[in-house]
Amino acid sequence: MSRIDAWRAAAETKMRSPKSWWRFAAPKEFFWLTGKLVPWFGWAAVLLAVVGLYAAFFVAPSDFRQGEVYRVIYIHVPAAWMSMIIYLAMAFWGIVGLTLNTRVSFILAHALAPTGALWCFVALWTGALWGKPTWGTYWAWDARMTSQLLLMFLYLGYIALVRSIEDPRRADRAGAILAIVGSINVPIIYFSVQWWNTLHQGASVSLTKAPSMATVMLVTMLIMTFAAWSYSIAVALARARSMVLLREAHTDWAQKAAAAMVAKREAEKE
Amino acid sequence: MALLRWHDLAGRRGERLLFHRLSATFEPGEVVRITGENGVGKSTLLRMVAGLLPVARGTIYFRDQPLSVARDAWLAEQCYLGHALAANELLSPRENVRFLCALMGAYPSSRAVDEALAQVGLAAQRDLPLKVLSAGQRRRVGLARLFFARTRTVWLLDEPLTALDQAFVTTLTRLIEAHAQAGGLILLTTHQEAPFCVPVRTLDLGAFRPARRRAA
Amino acid sequence: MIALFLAVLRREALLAWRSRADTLVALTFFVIVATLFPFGVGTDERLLRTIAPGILWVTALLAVLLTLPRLFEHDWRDGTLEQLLLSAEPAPVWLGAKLLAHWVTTAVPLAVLAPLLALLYDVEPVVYGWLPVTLLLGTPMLTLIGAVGAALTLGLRASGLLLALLVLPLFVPVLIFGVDAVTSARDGAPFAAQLALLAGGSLAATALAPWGCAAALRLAVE
Repeated sequence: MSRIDAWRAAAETKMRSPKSWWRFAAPKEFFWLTGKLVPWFGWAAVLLAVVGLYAAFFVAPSDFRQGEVYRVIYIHVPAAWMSMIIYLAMAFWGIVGLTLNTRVSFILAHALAPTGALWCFVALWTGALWGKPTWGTYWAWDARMTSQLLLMFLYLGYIALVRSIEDPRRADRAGAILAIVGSINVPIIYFSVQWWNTLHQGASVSLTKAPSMATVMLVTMLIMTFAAWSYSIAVALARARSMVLLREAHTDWAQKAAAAMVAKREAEKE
Repeated sequence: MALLRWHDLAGRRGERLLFHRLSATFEPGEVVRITGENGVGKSTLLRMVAGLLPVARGTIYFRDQPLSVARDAWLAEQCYLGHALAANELLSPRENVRFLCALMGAYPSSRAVDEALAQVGLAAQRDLPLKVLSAGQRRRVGLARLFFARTRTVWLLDEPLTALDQAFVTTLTRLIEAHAQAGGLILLTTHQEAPFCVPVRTLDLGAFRPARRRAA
Repeated sequence: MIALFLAVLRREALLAWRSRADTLVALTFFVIVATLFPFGVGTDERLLRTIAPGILWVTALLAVLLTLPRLFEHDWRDGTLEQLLLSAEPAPVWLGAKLLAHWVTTAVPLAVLAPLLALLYDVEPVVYGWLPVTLLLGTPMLTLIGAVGAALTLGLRASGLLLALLVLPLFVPVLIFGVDAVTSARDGAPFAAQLALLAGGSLAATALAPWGCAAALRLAVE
């Protein structure tokens, strides 16, 4: 116990020093930093998405078996990846918050959750849209999609739990525990669903059997993935900023920042 | 070396800061009354000291070691009696007291348990389920535990005198005095005046209330 | 440590006996829901025989889910949970006793009742034996994961539904391997791996779940 305390004390000292990166663990500094970062990531997301979608729909060659329909994988696969990465990120920030006792870590986890759930949703729908013309059915209970569905439930559970708890400290930590337990279970769930699927499907209808990738396709996939990543970061940081303001609403700096934002919006309206 | 020391303690309920800059030292043999109006944070303070709530700010030292280091030792030497009775209504007073003792690592004989229950006036009811007992009687079940808590140096009692008849108020105060004389430390929150025969220190929590509009 | 473990175990057993009506309700739920399915899917013998392991496992799982809130609800309400958390012994000692008592008084009766319900589905002889075995191997993991969920949702509004949302996705692996063990036994395929996975999962959960459970309980009591 005391080694964690020693480490925590060292981290807290670093957080107070004005030159260290650790200082962004403080809500006020975090708010300032994310204010600078969000526009960069936002524009990067837009740029990458435009390039990626153009490449996906106009540049990449059509698949000789699946025709044009397969192009939806350029959205489906990044969405699926993001949904998994974001859950792990939530668990990561939960662990950081529990060990270092920083509120901002928990806020980041909360801010990531709706975006992760959105990607799950996108992955599920694009998977269904791909399945229908390709294999004749919207939903084939294959391993990947079923795991994706269960991941969606894990996200919804996290969001529901955190929203149900009024005390912010309890909500933060309960969410962190849930995210950690969930992320340990995600590989277990995936493995067991894979097992279950091979029993019941035989020669499986695999919605992940993407056509063998030509370089153009690979590059397009990467561009779309980076676009999804940038978007997620931009949106999560923006959400985290609002949450930080709400949490710190009783402090002077937050009230000033909120007033400044309102004033700016009023000025823009005129 | 003080038995219990509080340094710059602050307590919070939700987002509201209840008290701050609370520093105090406690020695064995003291009986301390924590007073203050409703809502000032007496229960919160006691729960913080017991270790159920995290400290909002400051440090608690037990035998000169911060609680984060000495937590196990602290848990072994304290006895916390909260608002809630910690007694299950399906069990009898006897079963409840035996269980609460087991939680303290004490395994008294049946005779000792019966004697303790007799002292709190529950001799006749000792095998009835708590469901059929009155609120006052249930409170006394929780108090009976204190007869076996002599090995626990520090007693943290939250409103122990509520709903007690005068006779049992006396029993409890004698118990507390005996424990203090044996070198124990008792911190209790109470509205009532209790007829203690030993000098009692009063700590008014209201004095540590923060000024209005305090940004944490 | 052992003394405290036994004291908690004895108390839980006593309480379970004194509120045995609650256990009977869970068992009755198990029976009623298991009888619901033929109304929904028809009485074709071959169909019922095929789906029986799955139906009975899902129903048992739901019955376990129903009884989870009981784990901590009473103790939290009457203040015993605080005293447990303040005991000098490490949390896994009394948590282990509580969870063991809960499993014995809740899941074991379900496993014993399952073969009787399997009668309704006219299953193959080998299923009568293996269904309760898989339930006994898998329900510890359900109880342990469920306990973490129950601790996280302690005292919240609509906690039962929230608990179900949190915990059912995590139950899926146990369900998959439990049913697969029974159907493999029935079909003559090897099923040792499934049993090993069930047992291994329960053991791993025994090691890991108490941490999450105790942490969540401390949060609930703050």
